[in-house]
Amino acid sequence: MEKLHNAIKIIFIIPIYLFIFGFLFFVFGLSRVDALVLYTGDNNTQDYVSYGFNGTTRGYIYNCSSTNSCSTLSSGSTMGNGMVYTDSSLTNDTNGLRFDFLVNQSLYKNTLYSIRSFYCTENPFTPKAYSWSGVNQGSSMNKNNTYYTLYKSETSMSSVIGSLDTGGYFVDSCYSVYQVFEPSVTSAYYGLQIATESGSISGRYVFLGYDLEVIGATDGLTQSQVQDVVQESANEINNNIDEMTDTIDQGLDNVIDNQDKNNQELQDTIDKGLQTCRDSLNLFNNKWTKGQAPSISNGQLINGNNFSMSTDTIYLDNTKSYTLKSDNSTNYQFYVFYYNNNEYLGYKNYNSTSTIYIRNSYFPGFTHVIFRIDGVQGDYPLFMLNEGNSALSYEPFGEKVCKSKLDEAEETRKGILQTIRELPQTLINLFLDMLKSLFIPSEEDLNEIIEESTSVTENFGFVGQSYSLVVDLFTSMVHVQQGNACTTLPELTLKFGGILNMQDYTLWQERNVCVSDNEWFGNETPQINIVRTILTIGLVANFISFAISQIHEILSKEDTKS
Amino acid sequence: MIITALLRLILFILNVLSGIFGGLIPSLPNVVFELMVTFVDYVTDGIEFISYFFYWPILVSIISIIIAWYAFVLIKNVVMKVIGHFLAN
Repeated sequence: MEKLHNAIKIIFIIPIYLFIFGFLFFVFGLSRVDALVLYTGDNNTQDYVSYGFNGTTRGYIYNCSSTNSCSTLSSGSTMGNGMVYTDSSLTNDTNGLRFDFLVNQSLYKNTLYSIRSFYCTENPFTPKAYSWSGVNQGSSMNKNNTYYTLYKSETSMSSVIGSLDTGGYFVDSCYSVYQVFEPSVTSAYYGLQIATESGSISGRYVFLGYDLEVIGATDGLTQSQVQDVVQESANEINNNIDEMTDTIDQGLDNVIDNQDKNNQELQDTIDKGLQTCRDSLNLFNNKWTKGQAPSISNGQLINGNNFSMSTDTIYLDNTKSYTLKSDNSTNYQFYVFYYNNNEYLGYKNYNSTSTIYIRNSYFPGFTHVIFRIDGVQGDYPLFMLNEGNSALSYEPFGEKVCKSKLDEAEETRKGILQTIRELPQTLINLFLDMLKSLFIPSEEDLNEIIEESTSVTENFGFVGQSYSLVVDLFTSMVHVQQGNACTTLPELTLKFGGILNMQDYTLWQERNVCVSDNEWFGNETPQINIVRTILTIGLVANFISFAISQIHEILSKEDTKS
Repeated sequence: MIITALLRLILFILNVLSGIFGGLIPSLPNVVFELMVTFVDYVTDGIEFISYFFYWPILVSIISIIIAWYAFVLIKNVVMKVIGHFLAN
């Protein structure tokens, strides 16, 4: 089973590790450049070397020295990490719009899609400024007293400027922008913009390769912004890797857990196949009823706190014998109250270590019983109520009791050996039991004889009646248990009926009063314990006196003579 | 089994005797008998009532010892008288 478990683990784990290695190889071995961003920064390019593209990305720079077209300033060369392009013509251009930029290749795809747009500004003090957007094809906005407009459909700078001139606008400067974007999986970002003001442009231009999806801005990026973007990108990648690693780890754990669960289910199934199950033999459903129990004096249900608990009614077949045994050895009292439908028949009392028998011979014709337990310490006991005359081991009520066939076979084997070993003792016991059964009547037989004798004595007139009364008195006294000092106070009514139109006046109704229910003198109170102790000391003293007198009587000559 | 059978035999004989002579012995009047039954009940209930004020198992133990003692004395006297009878003869 363990080998099978390991084999299944390996089958599941190997592909997952292959997937992890493949992913890491893809992330770190085949990094791609999605776009190129022109950065106008300082002279320090070393910061970007590690983030730049490497060797295969081509860039084109167009120098637009006039409004008609742009000439190629630098193109087609193989770009290196942190490669710097500088050209003095860029810094000396005084025509306002003189720089353009185009990228149409990348490592990721041969062609990057691009839109060439034109932004122009006008002197804000010109009278036509307010209607700038109204005559053009694109949107406009007011930014720092400068009007920008975007021409979406124009293809050349000359046509844009010509259009503006024709419209009577005083163009201050224009520039064009290629917004480069790539239709990516999730969205189409553009990450390229060069903004030029009229006048010279100074500085160095560095091409950097970035993932388009993490740039997402059209404004020019400063060095710190690029660093931030790159750092965020790296963090994002790391987070994604961590998240993916966690996901994979969790997946692995789930796989292992599921496999363990499946193995356990398989083991359970196998175990169940090796088990034999049957319904529990326990007939006792622990339905305890605290606060109400049968009264010892008359079996009626009473409320009180002098008992621990009692059960609901338990219906039994009075043609069968039942045995009840507890797992709790604390010193409590157990009562079995017998009823015949609504008639109270009587009760029997046991201590906690007794095996309790419920038999028709005790109270013939009983239909149901109620159990009552006084003075339980600790946990409530578990009771096993089963048919027959032997107490069985505890089994939960109403559940399946399963036992392994191997265990059963082992028990059977042990049982056979035990039987063989105990055979001599068993034979002796059987012989003794036979002798006992020959000479000693069983309790059931005695009960039957007593019942028969009762019917016989009834035919002997007052002699039989006297005898039965004495027997009843004796048996009642034998069965007396620690009582609760209960008594029934009869109703006391003063009868004034018919006297001067007065009515009867009831002082109190009939009621059952138990001293044990008394708060001050009830069960387990210090007061009753003191009384019991004093009386017991008196009893013991009298008993000792009696014992001494008996010893004197034995040793005296008079007794010897008698 | 044997004792049970003997007891049943005795009961059978008593049953026959009661059938023959039982009618000659009058029963107590119902009122008297019920009074006696009530008395027995009162005694039983009274003992049970009183038992609340004792450590009942101790009381029962002492009474059992006393009864057992008197039973022992009774048997001892019977045995001694029987042995004495044979020795005297």
